[in-house]
Amino acid sequence: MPIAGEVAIVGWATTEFGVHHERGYLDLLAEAAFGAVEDAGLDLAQVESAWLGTAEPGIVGLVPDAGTAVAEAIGFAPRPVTRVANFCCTGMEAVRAAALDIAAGEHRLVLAIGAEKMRDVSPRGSLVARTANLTHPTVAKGRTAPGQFALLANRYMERWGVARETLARVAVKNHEHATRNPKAHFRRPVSLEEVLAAPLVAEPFGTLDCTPTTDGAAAAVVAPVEWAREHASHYVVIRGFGLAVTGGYYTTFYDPDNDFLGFRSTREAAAVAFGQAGITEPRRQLDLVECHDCFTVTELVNYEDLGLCGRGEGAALLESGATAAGGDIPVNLSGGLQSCGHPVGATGVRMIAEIADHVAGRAGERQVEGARLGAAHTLGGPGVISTVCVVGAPD
Amino acid sequence: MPVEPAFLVDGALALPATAVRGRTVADDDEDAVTLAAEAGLALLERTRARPQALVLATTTPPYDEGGSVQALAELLGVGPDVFALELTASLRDGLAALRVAAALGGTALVCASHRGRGRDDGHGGAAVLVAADGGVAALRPGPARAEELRDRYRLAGAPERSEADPSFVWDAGAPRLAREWGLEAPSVVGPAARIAARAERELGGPGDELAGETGVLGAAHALARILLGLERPQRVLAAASGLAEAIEVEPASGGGAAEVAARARAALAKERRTEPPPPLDWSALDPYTSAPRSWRERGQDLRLEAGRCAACGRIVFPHPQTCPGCGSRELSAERLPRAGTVLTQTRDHVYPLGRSTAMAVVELDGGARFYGQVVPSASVAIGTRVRLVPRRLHNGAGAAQYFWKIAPAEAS
Repeated sequence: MPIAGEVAIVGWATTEFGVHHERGYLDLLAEAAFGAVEDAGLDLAQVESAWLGTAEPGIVGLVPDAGTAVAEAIGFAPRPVTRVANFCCTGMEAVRAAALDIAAGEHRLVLAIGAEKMRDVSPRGSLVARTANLTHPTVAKGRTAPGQFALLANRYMERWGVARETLARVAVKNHEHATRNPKAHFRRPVSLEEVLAAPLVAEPFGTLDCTPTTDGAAAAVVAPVEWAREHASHYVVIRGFGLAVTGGYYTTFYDPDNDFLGFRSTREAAAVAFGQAGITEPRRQLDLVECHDCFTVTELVNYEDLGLCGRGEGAALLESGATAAGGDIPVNLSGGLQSCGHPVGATGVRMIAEIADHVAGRAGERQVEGARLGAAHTLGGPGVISTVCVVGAPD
Repeated sequence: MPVEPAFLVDGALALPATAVRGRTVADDDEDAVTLAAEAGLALLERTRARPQALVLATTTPPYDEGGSVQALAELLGVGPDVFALELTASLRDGLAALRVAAALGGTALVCASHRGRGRDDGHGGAAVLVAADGGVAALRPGPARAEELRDRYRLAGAPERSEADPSFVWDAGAPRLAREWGLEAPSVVGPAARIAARAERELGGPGDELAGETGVLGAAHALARILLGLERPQRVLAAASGLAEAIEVEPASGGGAAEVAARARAALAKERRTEPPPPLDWSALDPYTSAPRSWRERGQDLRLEAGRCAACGRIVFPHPQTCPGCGSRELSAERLPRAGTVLTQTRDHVYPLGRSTAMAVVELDGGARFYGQVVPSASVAIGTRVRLVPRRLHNGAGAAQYFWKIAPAEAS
């Protein structure tokens, strides 16, 4: 059977995102996994298989490199566990793999876990150092994640006449949202002036245009919708799931078709997910969106690539207030990557959990009243991998 | 040592973007190979020549052992079937390289460069294309000398070079040989600028303007002087460390020599920054490298080769396995043009290479894209015309890794 309409999410949990010096990778993984199983009202013994999403096992000594981490952390032996990775889409990929496991009919209760421990080293010793040292000896040298997205920011501002302040307003909006998310890494509002005055990272970005470097984990239990109907106390349904991989990791910025104004991968993944979900007017039909705001400009181009507005209209959509809390299409009510941080493997699972909370009416202070349909989006690679997952209420 | 005259076909100078108090100063990522390559590339791209031999002369080679000329051959795209030789003993080796090129016959490219740290030293490169006939000036190698005369040297493993007492250099160095050999109104090139200039003045030579603007360019200095004065007959003497020789240069009729000289003078007259860029700090980089990878991908890294799709004609860098346009697996290697326009850029403050690293995406003339570092001495904006220049990217695993960086285009 297909995933869309047939696979349900019956339990989910997220650890606090932040700098967890007192807790290690396996501690975070265990907290999220047991949390999701408990939320589903299950005993771990009932869960038949698991999928682990971790993008950078090398930061913490390769313990997260394989399914062994799950067996060790939650006592899952001898059940099957596989680690999946697809750059920044890794967390969403764990959920997709678990959903495929259900759709294939192989298992009926499957755990998807995303976990990442990034702060056992300093932020600069984390992905920046790995990007500088472990990547291709010539074509990749000089690249950092902010530096790559800054290329897009400068092109975007030049092409559409967008002010640097508009980018900063993405950070202001998402940090305001995070004041209502007790699990976000940063939970205080920031002013436009603070964003603009923050130390430079890659021009035009300052530190407050960038997702912080963060530890965290999230997990979800997936099951067939028919199982959920009979057994679940609460559940949501996966209405569409798209993954698009549009090019190579190093080669995308050498690609003459790359216009540096958006990401084809997001457009392709959204076409698949929205097609499955019957979404033709995303802004009208979706009640909320969690998208990959790794840097401020990314959220603006995501609006366009996800079809919430036309090309070049992302800045205007932001300025209209439509994507802020209370707007007609609120984006990143969790605070997004800007405030939650981006423990890579955990992010996609966290986003799906956020949409599920709203659809199930459990989002507390952040709740979008009457939300029935939302979309989560991750982008990786940089920009050549995207996943879009549409989550809706049961029929 | 009679050598048949050979002919100078063309020549080019490559001088860094910065000059501080009359001395040209290279960026931290420029070395004797990249400076020689810049001069050689300018020459080869202008003449479309395909030399059978390549001679590098420099007293500041990046490698003590193992050679630097093969990297130069790759960067210039003159290999792999080229006879390549490097001369690294003395400042005299610029002229020695001309003599060797003349003796080899055929077409030879001579590149000389210098990135010395001495008091009088400037940084730069010069390239001369030598052929058995048909050039703009005749080259007639003259007397040569080798004697135990330690006026400038560095013992293996010693961190700094040693320099003799100036009075000894005056008595035993180039001034003595110029007199002994009876050179008429010679250009005198030696490592101590003031002593060489005094000798030249006393012997009625034309005067070394170059040393005043760039400092002494080591093995490249004599070649640069030959190019700058090419429209008139010259007798050039170069001597250091007991190795010396002289050459006669005679412009042919037709005005070609004056054109070469004018181009060299234009390269010298280019406006330069007066502050060196902030230093690159390579200490925080410990990049993965692999000797098999470097060899396998030398076309991409050093020859700037892209893949040209046989089916749809698309050009793609780096050379892919499969054409991203049409899926064809038939692609042939093709060197990219170095000129292009900036599509977008940023200045990155977290890449661990010093204070900040400018990065840019370039739409190359001809359809391919390049994405990489901007040279430390420049900034670029969207729409800036640029060219790709060879630079040292890092020293991963103790080897010099060369690649291409983005520099503002020369004003034409």
